[in-house]
Amino acid sequence: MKKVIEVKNLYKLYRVGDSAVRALDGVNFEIYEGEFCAIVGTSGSGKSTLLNMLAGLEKPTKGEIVIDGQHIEGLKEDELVKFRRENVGFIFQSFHLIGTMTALENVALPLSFRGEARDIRLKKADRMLNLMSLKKHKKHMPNQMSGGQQQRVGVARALVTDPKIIFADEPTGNLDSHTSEEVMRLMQKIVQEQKRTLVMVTHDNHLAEYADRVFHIIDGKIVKIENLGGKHHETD
Amino acid sequence: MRWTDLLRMSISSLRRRKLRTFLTILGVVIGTASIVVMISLGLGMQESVYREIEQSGGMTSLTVTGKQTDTGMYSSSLGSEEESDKYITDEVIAQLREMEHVKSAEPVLSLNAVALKGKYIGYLELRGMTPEGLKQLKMDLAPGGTLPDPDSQNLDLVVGNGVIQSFYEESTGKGYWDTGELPDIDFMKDQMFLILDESTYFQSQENTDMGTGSENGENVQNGGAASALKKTAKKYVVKASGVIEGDINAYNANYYYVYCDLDTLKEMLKKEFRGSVIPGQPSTKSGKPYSKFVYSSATVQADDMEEVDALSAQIREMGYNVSTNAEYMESMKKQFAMVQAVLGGIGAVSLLVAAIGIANTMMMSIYERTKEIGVMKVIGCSLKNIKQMFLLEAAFIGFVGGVIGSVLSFLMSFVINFLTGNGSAIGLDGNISYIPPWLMAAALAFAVLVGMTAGYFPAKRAMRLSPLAAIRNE
Repeated sequence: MKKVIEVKNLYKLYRVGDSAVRALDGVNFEIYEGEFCAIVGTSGSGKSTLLNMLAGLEKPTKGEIVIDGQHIEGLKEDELVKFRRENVGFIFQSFHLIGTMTALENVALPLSFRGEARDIRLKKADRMLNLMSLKKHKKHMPNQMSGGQQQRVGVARALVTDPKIIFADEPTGNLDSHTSEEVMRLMQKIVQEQKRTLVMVTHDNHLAEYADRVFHIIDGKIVKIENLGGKHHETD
Repeated sequence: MRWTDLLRMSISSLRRRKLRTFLTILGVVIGTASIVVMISLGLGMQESVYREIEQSGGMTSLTVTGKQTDTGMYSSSLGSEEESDKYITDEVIAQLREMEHVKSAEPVLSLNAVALKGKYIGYLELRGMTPEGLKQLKMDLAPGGTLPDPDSQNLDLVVGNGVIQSFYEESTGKGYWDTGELPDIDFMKDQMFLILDESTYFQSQENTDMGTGSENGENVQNGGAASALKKTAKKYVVKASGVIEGDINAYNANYYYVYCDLDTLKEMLKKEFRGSVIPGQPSTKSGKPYSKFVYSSATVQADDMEEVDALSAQIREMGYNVSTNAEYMESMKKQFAMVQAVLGGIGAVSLLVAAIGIANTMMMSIYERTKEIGVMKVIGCSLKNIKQMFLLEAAFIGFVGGVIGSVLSFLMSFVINFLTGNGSAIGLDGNISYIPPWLMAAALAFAVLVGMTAGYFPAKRAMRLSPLAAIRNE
């Protein structure tokens, strides 16, 4: 299987007063194509820092991050934006939809950054929203939708550019348990059907069970990698 | 990102804060309008001077006047021509005509005369000119008017449209400026009495009014002193052959003057003042008239604008005073540049304030949209696009403000021109405020530029926002 993400010896140090805090303390792992991985840890464990670094939002103090054969730790900011535009989809905890745009326009937004024509990107967004079973809400503004609906728009937005990797930062953190399950199942289905790589950060062990592999992170170190590989096949 | 998408996003984010956008645009509107109106005032003045120059022969015209070294000196050698004094005589005119690059040289004789019409008395500035010279003035005559006929026995006049102001009621001495009513004279229809010999006329008036006290030295000036007391000034019946187009409010270069044919005028003067000195003509010390007829000035047309300077230097060399329209324009141009700079500067201050307003609005908008900008960066909006988005927003404010400001300045210009009665209230020919198309275009471009300059630093700031900081604060 092809390695999509390779992390080698990754360190991130924050300076707090005189002492240095190690947010990441020598992390090594690989993620393969088509995998659904969950990074699980308590708050302050360094899981969000790790995700930010994988997405090129934060620079590591030391170490290598290779995504699809490309080192991203040394890229400049505009190169990182380009990298994200072409390779990465992002799902946020608090959805972060643009409040002045309809669901359809929100989904089409990343395509406009790529310079795609309006009619083409609206068509793609439309198809994506159908897939998320949001047919009725295409013309709705974010504040006219429920949290679950908004997050499904967020998922559609992350997927519309056909990215190699999707990062999800606590995607269900702002949802009740019922809608959380719904959204998780949706994401799981997409990873399987479309053979995408999904990296999700969560503090919830239960939600992590949807993943193929679970990385447990404590105090900046990966302490356990759990392989749940076959589980979702059983539930199908 | 495509330009249409950038534009769409910028406009939609402006529309979402309607009141704030409106207020910011309002600032630009006021700034643009004040710059345009201020500069248009300067341009209006400039235009009127250009028009005046055009009417008085254009840029190729030179006015040559005689030169007297000293008023006490010129009659020192009796009868003979004095070398140090230069008069415009027929010989000089001929001489000027002979010169290279001279297209034409026409003599002009100006003198004051009195006109009587019913109960009104008018003080006229009469200008005798050759038919060719009159044609060169390019006067706009009211319909039905013609230039004076040089073969006519009578003195035909062309009356300036402001001449009516020079008429006063003889009994009260009140004119248009006192009563606010125009004297009831129609130059085209009414005949007038014209008196060329002003001093004799007023003396005889004094004699009849006061009876005595007229035997003072005043009449010496007149020449023919002894006979002057008995003599009454001759009244000529004259008629206007044309009047200058326009009413009393339409100021132009010929506003105050009355034109007539030079030869006819000369004949009349010679008859009237036979054996004595014609007023305005130089005399010898003994009070004898000068041997030749002297004109007030000569209007010379050069054949090319390039030759005007050389020609004027040449004529100066000959000992005459020369003033050219080109020189006049040069000096006026400098003045106008200054006036426009000052007026434009006043306008620019208000646009500067508007620019600060734009910068402020953009800054606020960036603070409000910190999160949104961060999200866009995370999902792949390039830094350049973010900068462009905000620059475009600021430019759009400038553009809309510029367009509305231009329209507003047209309205203001119209109102100013209307209120000042098309410029005549301050003695200008034409409109006081003039907005040429290039000023409009320049104002618009400047407003956009100001918008973009004001938006540059906020846009740069937006570009530098850390995406992480923007999305972290949950």
